[in-house]
Order: sequence, then C-alpha cells, then structure tokens
Amino acid sequence: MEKLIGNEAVPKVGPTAVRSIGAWAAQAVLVVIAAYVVVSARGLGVWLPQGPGPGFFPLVLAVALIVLSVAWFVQTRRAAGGDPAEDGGAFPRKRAAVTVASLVVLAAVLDFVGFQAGMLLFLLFHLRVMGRCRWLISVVIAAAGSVGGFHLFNDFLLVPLPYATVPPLTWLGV
Amino acid sequence: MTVDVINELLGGFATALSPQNLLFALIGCLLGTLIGVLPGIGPVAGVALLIPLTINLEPAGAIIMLAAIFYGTAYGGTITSVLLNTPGEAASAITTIDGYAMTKQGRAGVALTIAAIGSFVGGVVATIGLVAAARPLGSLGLKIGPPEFFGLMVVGISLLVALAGKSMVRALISGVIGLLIAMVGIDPVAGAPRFTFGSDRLLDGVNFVAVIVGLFGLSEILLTATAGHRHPFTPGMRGLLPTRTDLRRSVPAIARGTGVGFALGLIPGMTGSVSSLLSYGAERKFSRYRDELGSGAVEGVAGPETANNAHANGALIPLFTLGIPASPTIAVLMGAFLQQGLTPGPTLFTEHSDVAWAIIASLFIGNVILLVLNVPLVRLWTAILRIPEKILTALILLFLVIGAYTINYSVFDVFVMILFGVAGLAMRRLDIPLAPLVLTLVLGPLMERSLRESLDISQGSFTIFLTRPLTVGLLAIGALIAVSPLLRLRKPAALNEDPET
Amino acid sequence: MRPRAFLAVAAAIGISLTSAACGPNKTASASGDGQDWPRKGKPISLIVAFAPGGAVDTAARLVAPVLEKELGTNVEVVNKPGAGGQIGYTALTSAKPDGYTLGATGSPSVVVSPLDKSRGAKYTRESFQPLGMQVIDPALIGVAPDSPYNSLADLIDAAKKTPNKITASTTGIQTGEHFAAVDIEQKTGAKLALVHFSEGSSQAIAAFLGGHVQVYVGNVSDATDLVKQKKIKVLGVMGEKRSEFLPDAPTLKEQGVDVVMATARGYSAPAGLPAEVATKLEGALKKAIEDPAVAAKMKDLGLQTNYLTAADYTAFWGKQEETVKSVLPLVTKK
Repeated sequence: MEKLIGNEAVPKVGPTAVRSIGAWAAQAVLVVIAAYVVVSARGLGVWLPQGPGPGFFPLVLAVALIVLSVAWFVQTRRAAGGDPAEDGGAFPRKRAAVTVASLVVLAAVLDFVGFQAGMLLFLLFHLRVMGRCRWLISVVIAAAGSVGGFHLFNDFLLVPLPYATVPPLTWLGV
Repeated sequence: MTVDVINELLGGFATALSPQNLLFALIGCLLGTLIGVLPGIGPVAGVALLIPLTINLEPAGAIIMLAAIFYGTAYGGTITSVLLNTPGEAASAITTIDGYAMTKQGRAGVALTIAAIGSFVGGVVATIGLVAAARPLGSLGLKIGPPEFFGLMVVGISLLVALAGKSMVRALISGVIGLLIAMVGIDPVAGAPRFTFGSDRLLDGVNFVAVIVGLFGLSEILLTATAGHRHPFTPGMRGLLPTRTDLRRSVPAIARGTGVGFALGLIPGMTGSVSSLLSYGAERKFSRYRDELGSGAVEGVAGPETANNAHANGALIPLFTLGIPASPTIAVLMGAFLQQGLTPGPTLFTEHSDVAWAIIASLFIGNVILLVLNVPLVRLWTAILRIPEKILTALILLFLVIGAYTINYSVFDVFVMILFGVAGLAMRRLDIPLAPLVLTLVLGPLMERSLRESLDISQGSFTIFLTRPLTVGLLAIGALIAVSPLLRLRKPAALNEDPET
Repeated sequence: MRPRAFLAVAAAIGISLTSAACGPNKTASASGDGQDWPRKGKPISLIVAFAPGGAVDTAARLVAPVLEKELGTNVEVVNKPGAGGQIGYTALTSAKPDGYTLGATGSPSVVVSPLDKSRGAKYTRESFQPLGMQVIDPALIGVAPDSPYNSLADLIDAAKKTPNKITASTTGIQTGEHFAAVDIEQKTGAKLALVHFSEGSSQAIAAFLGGHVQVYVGNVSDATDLVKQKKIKVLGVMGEKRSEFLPDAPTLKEQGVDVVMATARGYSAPAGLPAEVATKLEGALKKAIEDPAVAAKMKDLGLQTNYLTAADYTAFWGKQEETVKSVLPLVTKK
C-alpha cells in the first residue's frame, strides 16, 4: 500500500494546520456560493410544463455542491495527518499576490493607456522589480514585448489591441 | 474505393503538388502553428482573420491554405500546453496535464514528438476515411440527433468518474463547479439570462478559453514564482526523441484517439475539445498504464493529441458531404468557401470536382508537412525553456494577457483569466483536480442544450430517451462507466479509509 | 531616480514614441462638422456585431473597400461579437455620432434585443440612424422530399388536427424563425412543436436532414444549397414577393397566409449625425451596396441585394418592430 510507505514528509503542524484552514475556507466559500445559487435558481423557475426549467440544473448542482463540501469537510477533519504537500511547503504567497495585483491594475488601465504603454510598464515592473534583471535587458525586452508585440498583432496579424484613450497618450498615437 | 475515385484523387494530388499550392500549404501550416501557439487566438479567430488575406487567391490555393491553418492550429496549441502549461487553444487544454508533467521530467521533446506523430496518424486516417467512405459516414453522422447527442454527453460526463484520482469527493466538486460555471449565460430553455448580473459580456457565458488560460497558465506562474526555481530543459537529443517503450505504449493510445476523434468529428455540434477530453477519459479507463496518467504518462499526450487532429480532419466530412459545418471553426472555413464562390457539400463534387479533390489531396500533404516541420522544430521549441526563468515568466504573462484580451477584444476576459488563475491556484493547493472542471465546462452546456432540444422534440416527454436504440445504448454505457468504480475499487477504497493515514 | 534608471526609462519611452510615430495614427475622435468630413487620414470604423467569417461580416468586408474609394479615407472593419449582436450594437450606439463610426445592423437581432427587457440592452430603436439596407433574406418553410405534406395548406391542416406534434426547427428562442412560426400560429391556428437549435442554422439543418425534425424553418440563403441537392421540399417563402433564388416556391402571402419575415441587413450610425455627413454616407453606401461586383458576390452567398434608402430602411425597421412587438408576448411567455 503505497500511501503509508510513500515518500511524503512527516506531517508538520504548521503547514498542515494552514492547509486545513485553507480547505475550510474553501468549503465555506463553496457553501456560500451554492446557497446563493439555490436562492436565485428558485427565482428562475425550476420546472416548466415541457420539462426542466432554467433553474433546475443550477438548483440540483448547488445542492450537490453543498453536500460535497460537507463531505469534503468531514474528510479533512479525519485526515488530520495531512495529505502530502505538493511542493514541500509554502509557496511564495507574496509574489503571487503582487503578480495578481499587477495583472488587475494592467487590465483596469488597458483601455485607457493603451496596450503599448500599459504593457511596457507592466513588463518593466516584472522584469526589473520582480525578476531583478538588469536595466538594459529589462528595457529591451519590455519594449519588444509591448511595442513590438503591439505591431505584430495589430499590423501583421490584424488582431486589434487597445489604443490609448486619454489625452496625453493619444497625442503620441499609442 | 472505386477506380474513378482513385483517379480523381490522383488528379487532385497533381494540382495540390504544384509549387504554388505546396507553398500555400506550407504557409498555412506555419501560420496555423503560430496561431495555435499564441494563447487565446484559437483556430476560429485565426482562420477568420486570415480569410481577407486569401480573398485574392484562386479558390484551390485559398482553401488549401486555410485548411492547413486550421489543422496547424491543432498542433500549435500543443506546444505551449506541453512547454508552459498554458493551453494555446481550447482542444489542447487536457494535454497540459501529462504534457507539462513530462516537461518537468525533462521529456518535453518526447511529448512534442509523440504529439506530432499521433497528430499525423490521426489526421491521415481521418482523411482516408474522407476519401474512402465520405458519403456513408456523412449520413451516419446525421443519425445522431439530439437524444443521441445527449447520450454521448452522458457518457462523456460519466468519464469524470474515471478522472477522479485520489479523492472522488474533490473530483466531483471540481466537476460540479465546472457545471455551475457553464450555467452562466442565456439558458437554452427560456432564452433568459442566467447569473449574468446584468452584464452584457456574460450573456454569452464565461469564455472557455479565458478560463483555461487562467486555470492552467496563470496558476502555474503564481504557484512556481520562486526566484531560482528552474524548469528542467531537455538535455540534448536523447531527451528529444521518444524511446522504443514510449512508442510502444503510444500505439494503443493513438489507436483509441483516432477512433474517438474521427467518430466525434462526424457529429455536427462536436468541438475538438470534446474529442480530446473524451480521449483522455478513455485512456483513464482503458490504458494499461492508467495509474501514471497525471504524472507524465505518454498516453496522456498521445491520446488527446491524436483525437484532436483526427477530429479536425474528420469534421471536414460533414462539410464536404452535406455542407454542414460540424463546429464553429469549420463554419468559418465554410465561410471561406462561400466567399470564394464554392458551396461546400455534394454539389462541390459535381460542380467543382477538380478543386474539391485538390483540397482533399492537400489534406494528406498538409499532415505530412506538419510532421516534417514540427519534429525537427521540436528542438527549437524546447529551446524556449532555456530562457531564464524571470524573463520567461514576464513573457508568459504578456502572452496570457494578449491571449485573454484577443478572445473577444475585451479586458473583461482578462479579468476572467485572472480570477481563474487565482481559483486554479487555490484548487491546486487544495488537491482539487482541474481536469473534471474542464470536462464539465465543455460538456455541460452541450448536455443541457441537447436535453432541451430532445424535450422540445418530444414536447416534454422523457420517454424519447428510451425509445431510440442508439440513445438507450449510450445511456447504458454511461451508467456503466459511472458506477464502475464502485464495483472495481471495493478493496482499495477500504484501504484508503484506514485511519492511520 | 538613479541616472541609469532615468536613461533607461527615457530610452524606453523614446523607442515607443518612434515606433508609434510609424504606426497608424488613431487619435480620439473630435467632433467635426459636416463640411470637411471625412478628414483624410482619419479612418472610419465599421463595427460588425458578429464573428468574423459569418454572413454579416462577409457583407461588411465586401462593402468596405468601395466605401473607402467613395469617401477617400480608410474604412476598417472592427468585429465586436457576442450576446447575439448586443455587444456590437452597444458599442455602435455609444460612439460619437460624427460619422467616423458606422455599424452593420441586422434584424431581427437589432430589433429584438432592445425590446426584451431581461437582456438589459442599453439602446433602443431611436439610438440608431439607419443609413441604408443591403440585403433581404426571407424566411422559408420546408419539409423532407418524401414528406406527406405537399403544400403549405397540407401542413397547416395537419398541424391544426394534431397541435404540438409536428416538429419544426428554429435557430433559437426569439429568432426570426421563432417569430415566424408563432406568427403563423397566430394567423392560421396551426401549432407546430418548435425545436430550438441555439447553436445555429447548421445544427438545425443537420437535425432536419437526419429526420429528427419534420419541418425546416430557416432562411433562403441557408436553404438554396439544400434545394439544389433536392433534399428539401419548399412549401413557402416568407417574403413580399418570390425569391429570385427559388422562383418556383410560392410566398406565404400568395397562399393566403399573411406572414412576412425576413432577415434584413444594412448599415447604420449612432443617432444624431450632422445632415451633410448623413447625406454623404448614404450616397457612398448606396454606391457600395449597388456595386455590381459586390452584388454578384452577395448573390453567390445566396443573398438578394435589395437596396433601401435610409428613409425606407427606417420605415422597414419600424414595421419589423411592430410585428415583433405583437408576437413577443407569445414568445417570451412560457
């Protein structure tokens, strides 16, 4: 039986407890979402003369999700020893959060500052700040990626990428 | 095959092998691969965008190039799936699972080569099918009406059970989440918006490509963004070529993939993603090495990739024999035909038979070109992995954003991608498998739609599912697959429950 | 900022500026009066609310080059697909009415979307200024060649005797076919069992050819090839007069059923164009639509070029809205 003699680390309290909390949080989120779906599904109409209404499947699925989340909760309570950690411990949470935040900012401003300016700054940020690359390399790659990529897609492949729509940048035609 | 058919096919080859048409096929394969590589721009957009370029070419050349682009994208999507865990197009999503695992083991070249070989086999077999038995196969495809389609979807979703892996509960959660996401949009019943929160964008539902680009591609970046963590790259030619064992193991997977892809390609309404997903499920169910699936089994690449290409080529059969586009991509290709003044369907063979056969001949040629192009290029592709991690990460992010944006030219999809990137991260940390979600997200809408259409036909009576032999058969198979774990895995389940673990 | 950093940033900006200067110049539109419209070098966007490769997109791309010639400036087709046209129409109606943004408008999508409250469309019929109509694609109704019904009257009789039994295809809820079928039911009492294939006409055709539905309701352009292959028996066409592609098929009106339903495609601008701009645009569009090469290509696609002036198009649109409004309650109430 591979599970017992496998090569997972001896469960530590730290990461495992964190993992359990993560699992509980996920279960809670799922239950909340499922509850919302149950409520709105009933508003959509569950059964019609011709068969299942628009709310039928969402209702069934939401109920199933609640049941499954509870089952999962029961499972995680039992397996207090912890599942084998995938990457051996904590992943770089801060980096991930910063990456996500930078993406959100980029997406938010993309229609305003345009693809070239937005992506230029984005790439510079990731190369220089997150990746600690040297200035020259960062600038070259950032410029190639933003401006070069823009022209590749816009002019050559005929795939439109956003132009800028706020005054200072529109004068530059980006 | 009658002598006439062979003669016409040879005539087609003569035209297709002209330097000009060969060049078109080559350009098409290259462009197609490039489009497939770029995440977000899938075959639909790719073929559609390039149609204006081909308006001025003569019909045979234009269609040859567009068809080459079409199945070229099927291969291009594999490259980023395997190397970067970012699906280049919808149908390559499932290849990421074992393909990327192989890359992590230093066997990226093997994965890509097997994918190329499998694609070649699948494509050629499908094209032979087109030549040999187009008409009967076309009519066969028509026999699949809404109830049979629903039966197929049930079979497909029951394979979710096969994808379960360690925890059935978590696999089911993943599947249910996928189904719930698929519910967003205009429902097929009353035509009313469902869970759209008043947003125009959501009326079409959550875009599948945005979801998988985030779920696989972005989550990978978020998960492994440690300084100094390196992707292993292929160490020389040894790691590029498949070993004899690899080839031997791939044979059954390729065979199954060809069957699945070709059969599903005949059915109007099936997309390539369905074929690759069901092929993966089939490998899970029937392969000798099924336990290795998920951690770099070559079957996990061979099966879906073959199915994908067999589907792409097989889907041309309904187009040629009936004039019915089997999937959105083919519909765009059909638009190209129409713009050139050719009407696909049986009349194509009577009115423009030389063009028709030239196109068919070029399908064979195109598959050969793809194989010849891509196997040596595997080295080039895997060299991408040698780019320093930090730069590669930034570039991947660039592609992810472009990819998500160009789906519908809207930043909304970029936000969707980000959301699912975070969700994918959470799921991977919590050991919730991603494959079931992908499966249900693709099959869910198809299932609900075909259920609705079937009930429209029967005006609300469920007996329609019991009175049609093919449907009954499919539903029975689906039920069997769904309960099979309960029957087979009795013993190990007891072991899993052991309180010591 | 450190000197090296400063230089680098300046270099980056410099690179972007130089390449941008070489690229196309797309400044934000400033309001213009009609006199010097269109300004040379300022491109006009032609928004197509559907995916590239489809019928609407193809038609727009055929018209665009001729428009370019007539107006003397670039005309760029921009695809904004999604939500059955709603996304593109929203983009069109929220653009400035200065003549630099046009859109391809097709009914019934453009007529229906603002009327159905649940879709939350941000525009109404008044948000558009129709400029000219290009093609009319009438609906038709047909059965399998070996079907027992040989005329529309046969079908209607049978449907009256067995309501909700004879299956008929549509391409979705609230599509032209759906309205047509319900309109027929309203005017003759013949109730067909409607099967909605929301994936589009190809699904409907596949189901029809496979014998899964007995009656095919669709557009002439979709059916002409089926007629050539002798795979369909057309019982009636829903135009004002017979279709030039199906001269042997009687219209519903001829057979005593007053139902007219057609997909009409044309071009519009956001409402409120300056008068001179509108006149110039209408004239250019007329030239483009009636251009022999364009009309020939449209004919290849099975679409009858049927130019209507802006005034006529507006009237036509209004009439369609009336028909749809009368049928809509029957279609949404379930």
